[in-house]
Amino acid sequence: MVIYFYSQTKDEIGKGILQYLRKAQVEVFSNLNTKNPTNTSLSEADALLIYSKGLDEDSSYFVALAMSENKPVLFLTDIQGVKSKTLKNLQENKNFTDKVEIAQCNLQSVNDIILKFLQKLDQDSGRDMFNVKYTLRVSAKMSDYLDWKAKQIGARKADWLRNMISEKLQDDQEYHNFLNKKYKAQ
Amino acid sequence: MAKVKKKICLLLAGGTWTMDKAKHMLSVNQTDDIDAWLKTMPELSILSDLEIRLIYNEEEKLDFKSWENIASFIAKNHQKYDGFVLVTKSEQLVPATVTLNFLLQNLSTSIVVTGSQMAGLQTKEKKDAMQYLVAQQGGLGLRSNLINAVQVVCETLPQPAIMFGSRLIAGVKAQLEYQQGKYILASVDENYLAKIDFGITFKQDLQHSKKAIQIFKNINQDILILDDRLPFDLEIKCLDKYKAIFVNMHDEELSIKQKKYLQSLDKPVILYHINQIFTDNDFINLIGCTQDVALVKTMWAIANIAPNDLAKVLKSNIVDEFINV
Repeated sequence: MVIYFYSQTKDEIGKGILQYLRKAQVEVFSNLNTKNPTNTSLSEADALLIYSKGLDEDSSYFVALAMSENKPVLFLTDIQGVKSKTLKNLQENKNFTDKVEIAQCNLQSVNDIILKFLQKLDQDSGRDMFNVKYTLRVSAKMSDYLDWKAKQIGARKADWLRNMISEKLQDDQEYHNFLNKKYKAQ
Repeated sequence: MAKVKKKICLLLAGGTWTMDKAKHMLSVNQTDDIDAWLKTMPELSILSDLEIRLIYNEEEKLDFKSWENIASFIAKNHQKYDGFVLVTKSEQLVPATVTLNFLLQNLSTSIVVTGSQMAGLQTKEKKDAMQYLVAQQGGLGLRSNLINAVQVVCETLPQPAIMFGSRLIAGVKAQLEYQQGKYILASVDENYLAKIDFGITFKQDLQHSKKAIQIFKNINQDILILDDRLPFDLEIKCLDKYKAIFVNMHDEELSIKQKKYLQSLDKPVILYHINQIFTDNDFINLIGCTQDVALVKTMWAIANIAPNDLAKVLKSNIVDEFINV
């Protein structure tokens, strides 16, 4: 998981968010990082996380860019931010409601909000799409079996393998326990 | 602090191809197309108050006259807007920006030129190229180019610039190349006004020129362009309409025959090479800038500068066009 994090200020909450993301083993590009790889681009990220007191020049630019790339956005702000007209307009704009989530946070609540956002991202239906290329080397014996099986059931070998993995994934309780703990920074 | 939205005038002159969610291509060919086109980029409304003007459609053949008209529009309206974004065909990005630079000197309103990777009429031949771009980069680039252009035009920019890909480049330093099925813009002296990485990083201390605004209405396109590698064999009587001769130089000097031919024309002759100095006093040597700049500068100078001052002006750095290498 890669998160693009913009923080308007370098206050405790901003630094805390960065720390949390790192502990949760999320790859993070941030303006708070002293070193980012060159050509860091939002297109490389799964989502945008903003911590800002309002929709200032930088945050509005990042939101616009994220919308153009169809990336989910979590906009964290304070009580004044939530009440601000610009953020209200953004929240009420039907073009953005399904992609932009605006939440009020403080030092106590921020980690829980981020955890829920990361878990939601992880379960995003988009992650179920066949977009990861995978090369699998099998023995000649396994290959013979796959050929035979595909012929028997009238399906492609890859589809049969995908279904097998999907069934395993659904039934693997240990893995589900792991997912429940995933992104909970220790 | 909340952002105060700036008022930006978006001028459309080709290069408007973009893609909606259903992967349908849209472009602006008439005013009625603007609404549907803009709906594919709702995020622009977060950045600024946009006022959109369709100046030329995709089918229009664009030339220097088109950029004269755009310059005239900006000159008349520059006090009404915080900035201008011009969308045009990729192959016109550099000539358009350079022309605006020479016609609208020291304007204190930022101008940014951008466009899509594809332009013109949607034809069968372009379908493959379009599919290749969509597969390679997920689209035709207009959406992100436009977001970046609208964002940077709200800043103080010293001169008209091009936002294309991940760089903001002064038009007079820009060079467009077509590589592996797409246009790539680079700066000839590696000098960028801004880079897009984590957000937009601007070059330090960008400011509008402190010199007085100078607005020119015309450039003169009646320039005969020659290449020193080819014979100069046009009949002299056919050259009456031309006000000057512009020679693209490749060799170290002209042949005696070429020199005699040019001397017989009784017109200003400009020898252009990016860095080669020619010592012939009969001709004006123009160096240290891109070919696009050299040509537009010549057209601007022929239209606006007295013949006696022509050589001096062509050798001067008018709009920071000289390359720092």
